[in-house]
Amino acid sequence: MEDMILTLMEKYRVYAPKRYPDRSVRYGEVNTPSEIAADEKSHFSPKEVYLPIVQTIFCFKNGRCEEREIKDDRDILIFARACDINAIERLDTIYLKNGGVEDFYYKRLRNKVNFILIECSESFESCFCVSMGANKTDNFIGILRDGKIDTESEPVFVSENKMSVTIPDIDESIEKDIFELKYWRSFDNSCVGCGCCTAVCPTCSCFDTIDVTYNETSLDGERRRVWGSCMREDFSAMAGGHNVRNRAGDRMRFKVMHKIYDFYRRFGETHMCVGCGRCGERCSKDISFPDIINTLSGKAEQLKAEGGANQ
Amino acid sequence: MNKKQYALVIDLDRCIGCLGGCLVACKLQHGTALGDSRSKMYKMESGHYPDLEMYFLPVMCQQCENAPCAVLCPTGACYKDPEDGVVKIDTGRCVGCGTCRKNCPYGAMNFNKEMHIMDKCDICSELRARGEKLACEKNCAGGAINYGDINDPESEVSKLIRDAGENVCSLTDEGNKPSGRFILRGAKWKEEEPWKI
Repeated sequence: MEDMILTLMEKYRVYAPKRYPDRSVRYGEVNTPSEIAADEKSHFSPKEVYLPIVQTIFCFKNGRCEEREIKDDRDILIFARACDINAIERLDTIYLKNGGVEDFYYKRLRNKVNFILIECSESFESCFCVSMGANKTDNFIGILRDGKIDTESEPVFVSENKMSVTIPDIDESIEKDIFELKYWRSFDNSCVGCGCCTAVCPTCSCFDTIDVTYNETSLDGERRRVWGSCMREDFSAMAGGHNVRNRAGDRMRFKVMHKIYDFYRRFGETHMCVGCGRCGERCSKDISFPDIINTLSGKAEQLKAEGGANQ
Repeated sequence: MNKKQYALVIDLDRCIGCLGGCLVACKLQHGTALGDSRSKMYKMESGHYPDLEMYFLPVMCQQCENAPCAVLCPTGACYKDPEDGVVKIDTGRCVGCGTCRKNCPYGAMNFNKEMHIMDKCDICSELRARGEKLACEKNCAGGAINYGDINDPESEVSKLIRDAGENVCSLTDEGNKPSGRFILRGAKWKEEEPWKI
């Protein structure tokens, strides 16, 4: 297998889940097969490979601007699970098919990406990919099997999770009621707004653009794109002091509805969430995303029944 | 074997609140911008005239065992180094969101406005790697600052802590278990938290 990675490295920059000294498992460039941590679900998604946490767009130096180029000509090869491979299609929708404009900086990295499938022999505790229809994929060039890359065999996917969700049946008639649910207020105190859930999510796409200078008196610096998060207090802050979603519950509503309603409503086909379950695992307050979806399903059903009775 | 936990042990009886030793040395060493600082100095006053008491309290990162900054950092940029127990920031991953600052019980996180990243005391990692003394340790006028592995009973700081007996204090623990220690014999320790006001 040693040779396998070396052969791959001639053509690709190889990324896989790696175990870091602080025990966290996240994606990084690998040089030896032993580095690949394929037995555990990575704590972060492979998103950080093709949508870097901090990305320099251009530098300004001596009064001139210079755009950052990608120096490495090699393509990118990522060892990923089915949910994460499905997730890149959701990001494509946002970055390449939204509003008829393609995002240059996303596209130039995205076009280099190829996948090797890591099969899940068994579903992990917090997964609900089957409910979200993200347990299968055909977007890969090989399968990691017994330490080798198999390009012949049929892939094996999980068909059952320990956890399942029912997508709420929401339509325009109850949209406003869902918006006003008291349920969202329960997150005002429980959610701390750290943004950990959105950082580990493979489909969260928000970013912030910042200008940095190298030191206090320098005129040189760069423009960077960094990950943003709708769960943070200042995400919807506006000039003049108004904040659209001031309470944690409002921000939770915004995120949840985007993942399981708004995205689908705008683009059709799929929901944004792929059911990887990382958000719940990462949350320091143990807020479970599948629980929210199921609760919301119940509420939506109830609202519809009430609406029907009123008419 | 115990995990390593490097921390600052500050002998407050030797601190004269000069600000030049630790704060200015720290700013020079790390190039902290005007108005920013990785550490702060508080005057802890108590009593009524004529029975007055005061000591100086320099506050920087306490390298907590359950550091809320590291737990809540969304991108994992802020992490507790398993090698030395020091909380560090991976500048390549920091987006400057300020979650760490909001959740630090001691207000010990500094925001680097120029680079738009967070900045904190990492007990001079670079200097330690070169085997040099810490900037604050070297420049402290009273020689009040010591650092070392508090989990190693043989270390210098552990001896200091043992010798001081019950005169060893730490900042208020909110479940984060601060590692920093303060030795105070000359005055009564105040539980007040001026950084919260």
